[in-house]
Amino acid sequence: MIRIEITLGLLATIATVFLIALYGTREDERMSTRARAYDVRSVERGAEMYEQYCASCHGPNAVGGMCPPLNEYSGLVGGTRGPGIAWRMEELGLDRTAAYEYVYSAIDAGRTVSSRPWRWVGNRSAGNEGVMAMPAWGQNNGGPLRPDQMKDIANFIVGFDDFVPTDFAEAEAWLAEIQADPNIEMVSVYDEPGAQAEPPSEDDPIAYGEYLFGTKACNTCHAYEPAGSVANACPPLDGVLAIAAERVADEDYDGAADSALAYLRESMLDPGAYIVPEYRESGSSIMPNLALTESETDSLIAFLTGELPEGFEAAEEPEDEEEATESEEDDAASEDEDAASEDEASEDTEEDASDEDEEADEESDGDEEEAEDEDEE
Amino acid sequence: MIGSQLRDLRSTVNGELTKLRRYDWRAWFAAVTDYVVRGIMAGLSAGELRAILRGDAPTEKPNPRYKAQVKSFILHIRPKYYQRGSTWFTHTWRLGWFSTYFFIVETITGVILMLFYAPTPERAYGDMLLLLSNVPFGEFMRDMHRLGAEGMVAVVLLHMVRVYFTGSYKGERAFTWFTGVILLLVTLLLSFSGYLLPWDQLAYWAVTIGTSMAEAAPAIGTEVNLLLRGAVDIWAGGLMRFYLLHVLLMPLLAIIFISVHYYKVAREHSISLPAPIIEGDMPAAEKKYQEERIDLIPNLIIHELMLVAVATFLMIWACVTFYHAPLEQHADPQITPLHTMAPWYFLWLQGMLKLGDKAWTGIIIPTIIFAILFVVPWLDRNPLRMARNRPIGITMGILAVILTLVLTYMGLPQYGIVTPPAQDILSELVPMTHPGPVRAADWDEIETTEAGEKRTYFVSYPEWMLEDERYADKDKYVFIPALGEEFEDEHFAHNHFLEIMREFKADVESQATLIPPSDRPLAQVTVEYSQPELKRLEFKIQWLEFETDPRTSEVIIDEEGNPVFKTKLDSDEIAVNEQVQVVALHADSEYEH
Repeated sequence: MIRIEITLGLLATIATVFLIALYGTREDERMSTRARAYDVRSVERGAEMYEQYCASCHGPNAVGGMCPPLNEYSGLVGGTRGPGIAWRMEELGLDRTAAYEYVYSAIDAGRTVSSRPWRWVGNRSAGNEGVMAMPAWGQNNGGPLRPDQMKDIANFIVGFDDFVPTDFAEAEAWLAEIQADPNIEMVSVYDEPGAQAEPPSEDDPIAYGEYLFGTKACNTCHAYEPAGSVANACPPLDGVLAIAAERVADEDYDGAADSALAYLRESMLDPGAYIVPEYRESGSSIMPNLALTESETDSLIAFLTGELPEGFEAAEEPEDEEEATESEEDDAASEDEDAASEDEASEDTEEDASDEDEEADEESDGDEEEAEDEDEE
Repeated sequence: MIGSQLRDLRSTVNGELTKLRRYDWRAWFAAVTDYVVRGIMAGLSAGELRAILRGDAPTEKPNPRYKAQVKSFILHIRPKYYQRGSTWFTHTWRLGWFSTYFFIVETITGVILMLFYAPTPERAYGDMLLLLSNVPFGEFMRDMHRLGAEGMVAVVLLHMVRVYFTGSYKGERAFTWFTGVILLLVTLLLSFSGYLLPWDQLAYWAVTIGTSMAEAAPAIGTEVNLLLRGAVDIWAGGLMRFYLLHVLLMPLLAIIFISVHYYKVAREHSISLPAPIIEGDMPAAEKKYQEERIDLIPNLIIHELMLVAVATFLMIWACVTFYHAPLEQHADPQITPLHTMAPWYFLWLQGMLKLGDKAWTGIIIPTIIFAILFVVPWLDRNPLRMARNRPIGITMGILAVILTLVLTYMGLPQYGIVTPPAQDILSELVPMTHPGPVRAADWDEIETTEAGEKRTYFVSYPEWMLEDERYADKDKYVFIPALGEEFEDEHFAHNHFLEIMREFKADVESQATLIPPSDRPLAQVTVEYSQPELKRLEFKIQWLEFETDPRTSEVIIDEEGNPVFKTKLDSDEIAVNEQVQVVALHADSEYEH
């Protein structure tokens, strides 16, 4: 019996040694796969947390919104938001390899003011100047996030650099190529990183209106095809004149305007006067008061409606290029687009078209809305 | 003088060399070796050791083997012999021995793990990740430690059950039983305190629930809770206290009480002889044979060494192949995972908690149960040990075991807890606490369209959507057919992710309370690229509910005999409920276990 037990014990010992040796030879590979897996899980969790904490300001998939875009995509491939992290690092003269620290510290400590307030108001809006432009998220700074959570989010954000060649000169060359490509639309000259174009003068209301639409950050909340913006946090502005007419006529309306144009004016100058019902409960902040001057308001309305204000004359023949496209079902408030308004028959303006820009054409078509094609430069 | 010495030098040296050559070096070496071996092995020579390992008789007189047990500290704790009957495998199952074995395994693996772990909330979880990905054999050590812990609790419980059913707690063994119940408590606390240390969701919530029972204790509850947790909620204080319990206080108590317990066994009353030998009708010759002595050296020692080798091999094999300790997400006091579960040895307690008030079922009754356990030898007045001579004792024992098993079953999350079906279905597809089928699926199989666009898998949908032009683009919209029907596109036929979608469809359509809306899909999944190697999946279930009478819970029927749908507050619009879960999946993610 003892002999059997000894044999069994010896066999078991030898088998153990073999097993451990076998396991040991695969251990290096297991560890490196696991390390990579943990890094990658961090990115995944960061993406999931991004949805919960960051997307309301920085947009879905970091395309930007009230706050700067964090992905590289939009800055390069014809987006309207502006440059992402890589470009920002370059602008600030920081080393691209420090991007993780840059992002982590922004999440941890927040930003007291917006560095480009004409573009990104962040959390601060008129009447709300006391809060931080970007809240502090770290628990040490009063926020809800632990260091490992912030690390996950930062890992996710710097992952967008996969879209960008790491060499900035290479990126610029690539961008130039894209700009030269007639098949790719660049929406506005003011979206090109580093562009120093002169703002158009107020003598050209529609162009000036377009400029204001970007610099006053209207495009970060409102969808408007001619400006190429697709944000859906706030009522869409395509066909806004017809919409305005409906709003004014609506029973629910309790503001002071009595016509569509007056409604538009009121919306811009006194945004809190009336909020469309569908957007009341959305939880996002109401439109800030942008302190627009009279001529700024006129220009913006000109841009939105395609009709010049009083006293201006058209410079060129209209270029009419329209294309019927399909719209998606996703937006909640885009049902009542079409009224029976004819395009030119608004109150006291002549009908013209702008030189380079588009013209808003409303024709009730029964189902779809039409989008215009923009021709730039 | 020097001259003469120098003249003689050569011959002196030669003479010495010759002496050296003729010296019996072998004998000298053997003598030195023998001296060293006897010194280390408590008087046993190398030849004696060989005889022991071969099972031969002692090589010298008097028998040095018994003497060794007097001279050696380690050996003096062991008995000199056991009676043959008490070494029957089916009498003890070696359970007491295995309890000690596991304790030693835990101590060794535990000390190694201590090198790589710091018990603070800032570091604990990160240290676990590093242990598993950056320390060679780190995962192996952790799995061994976990397996040993589960084994130790199981074996200690089974040992108690065995001792009860063989009646080996009676008479002089009563005190040993008493210390044994103390050891049971120590084992459970060792396991429970270690459970918190990984600082993941599983650990945090299991221990939060466990310690919340302490709060329910009458009169002293709040203080006990603060004592255990170091604060009102578990965080840094709780972790540090549990760590110190786990590596200092409980092991000390364990060593003390194991010593007391085993000293009694080895010195006073030995392992019990099986009751049939003492009380049964065994023939006298057989009885004499069974009462014969089996010596520790060589028989029992060899047997135990074999057990060590085989048990260790089995543990290592299990850890290398299938047994892996889980690690969930970082402990988060803000998020309670669905289906929080106590460790299995406390499921009976969780089951009891579902029965009534926390103070009674969580504190008072378990205290009574343990009090009864402690005094079993004094409650049991029957001096006989054989099963047929103690019908009441055996019956009570069986009832207790059955009751514990029933309570354990009741402690499972599936029992007595109703989760809303939509939440339940999504939490099975993409759970919070473990990978689940979707994360484990092949990344490439979760197909989507090009970057910037999203693909929607309509999992359960009204019929009209199939014909609608808006969803005609086959790249952007995929309709999942029912189980049993084929995909239109051949390409989808062997896609494992789509198989999961089909099961999702079957699950969601089999829920009577999830009423499909007529204007949108009941369930859908959208997939898009967030980054070149990161996909974003959004699972959405949208359903309607019927209006029910709050008093009778019956569905309200309108005049035409149709059930009435629930509407939004202050509105006639039908309310559509929504359950959404967003998941990000990376191409390099590894989710096997």
